[in-house]
Amino acid sequence: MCESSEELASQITQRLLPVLASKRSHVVGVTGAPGVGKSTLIDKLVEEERERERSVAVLAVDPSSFFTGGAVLGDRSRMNRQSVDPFVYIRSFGTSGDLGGLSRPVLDAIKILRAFGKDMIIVETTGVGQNEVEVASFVHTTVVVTMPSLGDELQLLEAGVPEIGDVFVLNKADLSGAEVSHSELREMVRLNFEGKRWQPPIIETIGTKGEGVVQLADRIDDHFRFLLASGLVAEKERKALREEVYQLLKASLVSLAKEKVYEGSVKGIVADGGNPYVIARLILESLSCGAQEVHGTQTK
Amino acid sequence: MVLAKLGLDGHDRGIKVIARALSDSGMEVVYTGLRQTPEQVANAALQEDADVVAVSILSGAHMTLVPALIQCLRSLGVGDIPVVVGGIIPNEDSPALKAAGVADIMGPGTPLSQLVKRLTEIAKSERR
Repeated sequence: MCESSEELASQITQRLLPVLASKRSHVVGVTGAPGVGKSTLIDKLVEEERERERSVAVLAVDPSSFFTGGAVLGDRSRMNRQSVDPFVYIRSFGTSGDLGGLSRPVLDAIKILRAFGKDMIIVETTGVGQNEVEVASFVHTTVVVTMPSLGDELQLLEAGVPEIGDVFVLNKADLSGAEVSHSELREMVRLNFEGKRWQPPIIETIGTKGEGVVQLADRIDDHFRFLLASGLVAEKERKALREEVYQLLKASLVSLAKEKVYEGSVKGIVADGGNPYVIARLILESLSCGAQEVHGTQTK
Repeated sequence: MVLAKLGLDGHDRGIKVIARALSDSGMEVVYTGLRQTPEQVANAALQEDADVVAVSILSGAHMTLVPALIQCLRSLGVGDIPVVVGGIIPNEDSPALKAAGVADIMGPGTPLSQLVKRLTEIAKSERR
């Protein structure tokens, strides 16, 4: 339901607020380049969490086509055996139009699942740089999954990605090059996290065999305990709220601006050879004036 | 749309082509993978809030698997999600499948564009 309308989403969120105040779930983001084995690993992680008697939800986000709006959401295919477990909920999402990694429905789904008391909510996204950084804003623990380098050492050092990882996973650790990749990861962690309170662990896993998954689950738990003990959980949640408001505002402002351009309120100005800076400023001014009228603080 | 391969049929090239075509026409397609049981597919359809479930069966086991799927959907409370069947379905089995609750049957040879159109039509129709 939250997918279909912002108004409805707002109403639902409002109703959930009192419930949410008393519930806490561990929200874990799992990100990494396409093909590193995230879904397979998550399938095994879900199994392990169920062994620990936790209820789990998985939100699997796959990119939608910017042009058609359609998507093939295949993450589920690697973990669908979990569907029949009543304590596991899996839902696939496209990114439908949002150029960022997480669309509004995913954020709403997190709220709803928290209200339902899920112990752990795993958000899987296909990282392509910017998306990974974005996921980190909305989860407690960010797990970055990589695999032995296919030749490009610098891939691991992609801007923004190292800084947001709380747990690093070297999946497909049975492939050649694993040792080299592991040292590279170690070096990168050392450089980026020197002196910081949380030192991200690096875990080697083989997703297809389920190896290393128990350690992964342990380290994810460790991180949550660290956040709770240090009071950082509240800070992260506040940041997430700010970020979500910012996203909603951005989306509204952009569609407002698009309306202005297309409906010709600045008719005749968006012509050939126009100055984009001037045009943009004019639109911004007309939006601000509109806002002032609404609030009755029109300045003379 | 939830797309599934039920049973021990290991051929997925066709269903992937269809998934791609549907996605190109703007649909969100959840592909549940190979060797799915009726329970797994039914639960996926429930969790994904599917508008239609399309299954492909090339193994000949459709008369067992499809009614089982429909039964699972009903017991989960989502018996109103239309089910479409593709693959190797002999004509003489069509009436029985339709009687069991299948919304449509589209075998090999159905042009891709027609398939996409019909599935979209069914997906957009009001769930009863």
